[in-house]
Amino acid sequence: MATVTLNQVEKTYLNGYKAIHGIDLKIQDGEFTVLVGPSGCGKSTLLRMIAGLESISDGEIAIDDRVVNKVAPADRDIAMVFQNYALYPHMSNYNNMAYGLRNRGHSKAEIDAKVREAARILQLDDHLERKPRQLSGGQRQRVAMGRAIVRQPKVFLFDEPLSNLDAKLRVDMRLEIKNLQQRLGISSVYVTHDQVEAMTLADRLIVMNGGVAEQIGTPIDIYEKPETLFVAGFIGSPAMNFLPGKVSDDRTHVVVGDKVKLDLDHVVEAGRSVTVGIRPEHFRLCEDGHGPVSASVRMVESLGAETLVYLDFGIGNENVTLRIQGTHQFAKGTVLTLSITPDKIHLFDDETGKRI
Amino acid sequence: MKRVQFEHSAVPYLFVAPQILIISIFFLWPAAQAVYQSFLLEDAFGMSSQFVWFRNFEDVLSSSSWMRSAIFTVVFSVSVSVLSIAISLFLAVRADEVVRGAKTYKTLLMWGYAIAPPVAGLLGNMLFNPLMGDLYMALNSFGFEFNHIENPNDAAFIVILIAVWKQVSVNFIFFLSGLQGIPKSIQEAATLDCKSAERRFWTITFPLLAPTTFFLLVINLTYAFFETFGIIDVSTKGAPGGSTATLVYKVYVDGFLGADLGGSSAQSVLLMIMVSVLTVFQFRFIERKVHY
Repeated sequence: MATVTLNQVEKTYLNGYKAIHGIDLKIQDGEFTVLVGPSGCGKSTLLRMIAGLESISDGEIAIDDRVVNKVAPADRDIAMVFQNYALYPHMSNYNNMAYGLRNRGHSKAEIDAKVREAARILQLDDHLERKPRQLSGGQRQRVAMGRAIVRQPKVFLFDEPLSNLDAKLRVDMRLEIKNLQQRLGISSVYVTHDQVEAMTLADRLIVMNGGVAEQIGTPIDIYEKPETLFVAGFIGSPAMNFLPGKVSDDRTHVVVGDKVKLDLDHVVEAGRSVTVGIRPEHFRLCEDGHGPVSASVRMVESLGAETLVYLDFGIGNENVTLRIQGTHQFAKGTVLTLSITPDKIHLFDDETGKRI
Repeated sequence: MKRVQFEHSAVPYLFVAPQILIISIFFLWPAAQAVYQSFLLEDAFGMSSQFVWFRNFEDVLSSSSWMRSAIFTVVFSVSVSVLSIAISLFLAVRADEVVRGAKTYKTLLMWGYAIAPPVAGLLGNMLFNPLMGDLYMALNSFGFEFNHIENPNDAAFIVILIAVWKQVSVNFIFFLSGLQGIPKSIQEAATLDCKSAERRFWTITFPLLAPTTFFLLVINLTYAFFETFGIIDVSTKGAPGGSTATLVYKVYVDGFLGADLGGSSAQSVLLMIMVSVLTVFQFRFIERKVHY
């Protein structure tokens, strides 16, 4: 039960490389915060700074009201789950979970009760006497979770905990983590590069890029109103389509390519060059052939529940992705007519990449 | 379980033949010779010999000088192994933590590896020379009354010191690579679980290094038994009065300087038996406990 406050936190490595460029953040009590971004964006570094595994070059990190910049990791009252589990290979699973408690001087009976309780929650009862190497990947990850929850820390830190698991197990564990976190109500920071994990787990999502928090908000806010071109391209799968465009003289349209004219729902400076972003799921197929956009089919991918169609918009070689519900078959070269409601069109400034 | 068997041909035997030949000529045959010799009593000029069954062994085992050498060998081997393992473990742990100039530091610690045992012995000899040895002077100026020429303990100190110094760099390399083999995230998980660095070392790092330590224990005991010959021969030559002669050195002294080939062979056969027993013991009883 705690808040985590980051105040202008910066990280500069010894070799002069600046990994984090001043991040401000307040994680509320019991909130599940997810840091998401491409590799090298500084998300893991930031997490490790909260854990105390990396020093803080500038700024302050506070857990509740205590500034922890100079506090040893073991004294921060946090627990971390690592990507490769980081279990102690020479200890039984029981001892793996008990180790942190023993070092904090808990009584034997208390440790035993806590470990058995955690094992029960995580369904590890039968594996306590075994060693980590005798377990499967998912079970090891559970032991690592157990090691974190027995301590009942103020904050949970997760460093890509699911990326070593196979796809099916990942989905199961994702639900388990979310469940567990809600039940225990412990503030959590979770790092991932997988945007599905990010969207599903987060109460609040932080999209990072190049050591900067590009956008902070609820997953749905970020999906619906990405503040920058980067966020728009990173969140959402398949990724948002980007097309070069120009705002028309009457300021009610944006012109894409030569002939495509799309209605706008807000007024933008006339003649301005913009990048138009449209999510694949926001195109609507006009069966009657009347619509503002027509494009020919290059390729179709049927996923069963939905179909992805790659279209030629006649602008460069870029494919434009269209995502429609159900199964559809289109021959290559078929011309489709599409429309978009104006509020689903995202405009970004060409120079700054900021949302207009 | 049945294993797949392929048609045999003579070719594989042809390939291993050179190796078998080398082992036979340079290891098996001399060993057999030593066993055979240990049953013979030869006259001083090597003109005639007589088969005497176990008399050489009786002589060796009842001789006080062999007993003394055996005791010294045990004390020497245990001290050298324990000290060099402890010192190099300490150095490796510290070197692993160094951030700036780590490479230089590590390279300097590994350099000793390149020095041959006799050269190490020669260095020790010079450092402890009563006329010009710096360490000899230093120890005496501190009031230790250090005199390895007469005092067996002081002489033992010198050979142990040189042998340990020579071995530290070898152990250091193994420990350092052992440390680097411990996943960083495990160390990090431990920092979150345990505040005391010392406790962390004994509960996490050291158990994870146990296989390395065991391996080094075997290697170091063998080293102290056999490979310290050069160091002893160049520094103390077993003096004073054979008090720093290990069993291997005594085999050489009695056999090649004392011309007692039978007795010397008996000693080397005993040595062979001792080392085999020791090795079997190590693998049977210790190895089981160190692997995780």
